[in-house]
Amino acid sequence: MLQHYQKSDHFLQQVNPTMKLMSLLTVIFYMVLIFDPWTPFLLLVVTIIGISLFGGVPLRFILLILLPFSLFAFSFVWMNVVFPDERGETILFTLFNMPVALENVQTGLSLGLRSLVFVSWSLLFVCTTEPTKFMLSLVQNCKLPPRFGYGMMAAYRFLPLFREELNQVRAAHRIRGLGEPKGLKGKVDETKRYMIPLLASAIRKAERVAIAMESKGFDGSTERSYYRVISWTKKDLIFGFGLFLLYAGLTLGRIFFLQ
Amino acid sequence: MAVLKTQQLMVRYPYQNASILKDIDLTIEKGEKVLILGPSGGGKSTLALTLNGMIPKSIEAEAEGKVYIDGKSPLDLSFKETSQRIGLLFQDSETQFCMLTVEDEIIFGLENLGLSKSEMERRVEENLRLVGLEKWRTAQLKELSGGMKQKLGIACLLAMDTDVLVLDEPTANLDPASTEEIFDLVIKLGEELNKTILFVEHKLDRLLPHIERVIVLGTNGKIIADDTPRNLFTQQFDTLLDQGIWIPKICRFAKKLEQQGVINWLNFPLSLQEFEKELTRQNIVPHNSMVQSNQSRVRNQTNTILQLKNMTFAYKTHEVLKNINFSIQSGEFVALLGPNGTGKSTLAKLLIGLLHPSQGEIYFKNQVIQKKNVQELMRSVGFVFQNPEHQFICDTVEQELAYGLKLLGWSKEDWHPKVQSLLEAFQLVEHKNQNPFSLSQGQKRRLSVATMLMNDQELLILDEPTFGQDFVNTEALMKLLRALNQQGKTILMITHDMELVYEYANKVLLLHEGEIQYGGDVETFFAHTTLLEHASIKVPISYALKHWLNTIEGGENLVTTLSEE
Repeated sequence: MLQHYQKSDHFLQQVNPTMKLMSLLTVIFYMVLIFDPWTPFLLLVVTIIGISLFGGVPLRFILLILLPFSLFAFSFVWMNVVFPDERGETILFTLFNMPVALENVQTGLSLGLRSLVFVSWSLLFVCTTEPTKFMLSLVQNCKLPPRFGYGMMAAYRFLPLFREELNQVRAAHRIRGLGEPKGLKGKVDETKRYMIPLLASAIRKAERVAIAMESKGFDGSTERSYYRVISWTKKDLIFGFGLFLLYAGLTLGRIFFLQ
Repeated sequence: MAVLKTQQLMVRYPYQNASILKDIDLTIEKGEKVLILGPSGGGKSTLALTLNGMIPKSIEAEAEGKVYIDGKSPLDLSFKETSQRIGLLFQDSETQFCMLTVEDEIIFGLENLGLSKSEMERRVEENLRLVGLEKWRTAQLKELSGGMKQKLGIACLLAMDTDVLVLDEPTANLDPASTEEIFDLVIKLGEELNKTILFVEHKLDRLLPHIERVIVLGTNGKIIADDTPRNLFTQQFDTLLDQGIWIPKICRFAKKLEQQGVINWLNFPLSLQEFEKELTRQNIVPHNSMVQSNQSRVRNQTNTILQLKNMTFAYKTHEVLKNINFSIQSGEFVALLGPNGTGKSTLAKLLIGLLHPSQGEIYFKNQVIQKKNVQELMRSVGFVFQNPEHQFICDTVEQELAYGLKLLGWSKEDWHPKVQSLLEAFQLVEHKNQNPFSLSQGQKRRLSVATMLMNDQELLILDEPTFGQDFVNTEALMKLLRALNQQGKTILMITHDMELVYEYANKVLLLHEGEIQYGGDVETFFAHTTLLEHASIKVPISYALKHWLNTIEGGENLVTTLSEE
């Protein structure tokens, strides 16, 4: 599913991955200064609509992924209501003999929504960026040495293999008479037992893939040509301008409505 | 001019006293098709890696002497320059790629060479067409089968436009159908493009007729023979046998016929076709009588140990196994066959309760196994995984064996003698204090079988136990399984190797398209031509030979010697 979205040719997919990565950083930076719940809420809505509209990702898919994160976000509200630094004055109602203050709910909502904004922008990045294109962009646009870029690619390829292998190890150990681990110590012991066969195979795989890459003439240097050139285009300009408009709009709105 | 040349080449790995390669003097001309044979661990892969300079440039090893590719030493060439002269295809199709899609993988190599975009485009297109993967250009690597991955590997090498291709057992992990495809492809392309090809391989039946020269590495790391295949197998037969080097079944057999004075070969056969042609020339014609089934292989046991009744298994909504019915009698040696991806491993997992049937029942000794938990079942059923390392949980071999018994609450006095006797039976006594991970391939395999027999399990299920194992280890394991079977253990083994099936099993289950399409006697199975063709299974050479034998005077007596090989 994810691959399908990453590969489609909507607007966001055509924006330079480095540009998207930078936009993610600016969002984090912008949100640091904001404590009201409305700004992150608005930004969240805009982001979700943006991913769906300009990235061609169905709303259902985005919301489904955000669902578990919203539980996490809600925990911020809960924490702020139950353990506030300083209890607010506007008591809304009492819950199990505990006063719930508007100010605390607002801080909680602000923090919770902020975390959702980060998740949604990460989602924007992940849903619209092919891993290969991201790596190429880092190498070509950000001067990341190919040694690391292609090394990361090889490692990324192995992730599903490791999951498969973990399942096999798990089944094998179950057969040896090891049931579900009991308690924390059991879990730690289990992890330790799984680590050895997985590490052994990881080291072997890494060695082999390194030899295979060098046999194909890879020396990690920057002296190579590229079939796919990740360049800066008008789309990046439009994306950057859109982002600027978004921040400007949010800032203006804050000045008019929140002061 | 020689395309490859070595002079007094010596290679030694760190912390090892003996050199793995010694005094290697080789000259290989352009366009030659050379086969490299040698005992397992005898330096064949080391030689391949030394020829393209990976040893000592990337792999730590001491190398002396000279290597020349096109007259230049790989030590003076960059990776880039070497990769345009010599290409390596490896055994593990999973770990020779670093990108996500088919085209990106080919392009990776071409980018390393710094080619222009139009040139890359041309080469990608041309080479995908050569290996027949043009429709898969934008596919993800994980969508490809093992055989297709190796074809892609070949396309990657061809795209680099190398003169020399070194194939280091690329078919070791493939099923028979894919293996044949790969060989046919390499042979065809090798001829068409006039490439120099070095094969490191032991599945020779298909390959041998196309090989012009065989180089044999001995256990001492030196070249002990360098000849045409026909000369080699006629004249140096005993030397090869002494060195533990695998000799094609057909050659071993032809030699035996000659030694017993049954036939005098004018043209020593290297393949079944040549064998048949030669016999026809000598006016020996087979009569079409069915070979009598070897009665001694079928035991008269009526004790049902495992039975499946109308069992169906589905992953989510996809039915993998449909209405499976079969039973296994105590003391049988059963081979479970079928093409890759038909659910053989799934069936095995169902039998030990790691998965549960969607419908129907599995009975172990008349008890429904769904009612037992895995631990309970494991006391009477042993299960050996494809990769032995996955099963190891302790720090020493001895502890590994004692583990199951300790779990059952046995004291050291009780388990110690039992562990000791298994260590002896599986030739692991001197390794008992070693870490299981530090054992050799064959030892790991033996240990993984041994751990599954600690509790005197009656049924032993093995999931492709010979996968990725070399010939010597395979044979050792099979002999061990036969011995266990003769002691009364029931064995169910998933395998692709029809030679093993014919030689060791006494019952066949064919799983194809989610159904058991055949269940019964081995001889009868290999006579079902259409069934075999449908499941792309090839008749083993020993089976084909047996038919010939009955027609040769005095040949009947050889039937038994054949299966004892």
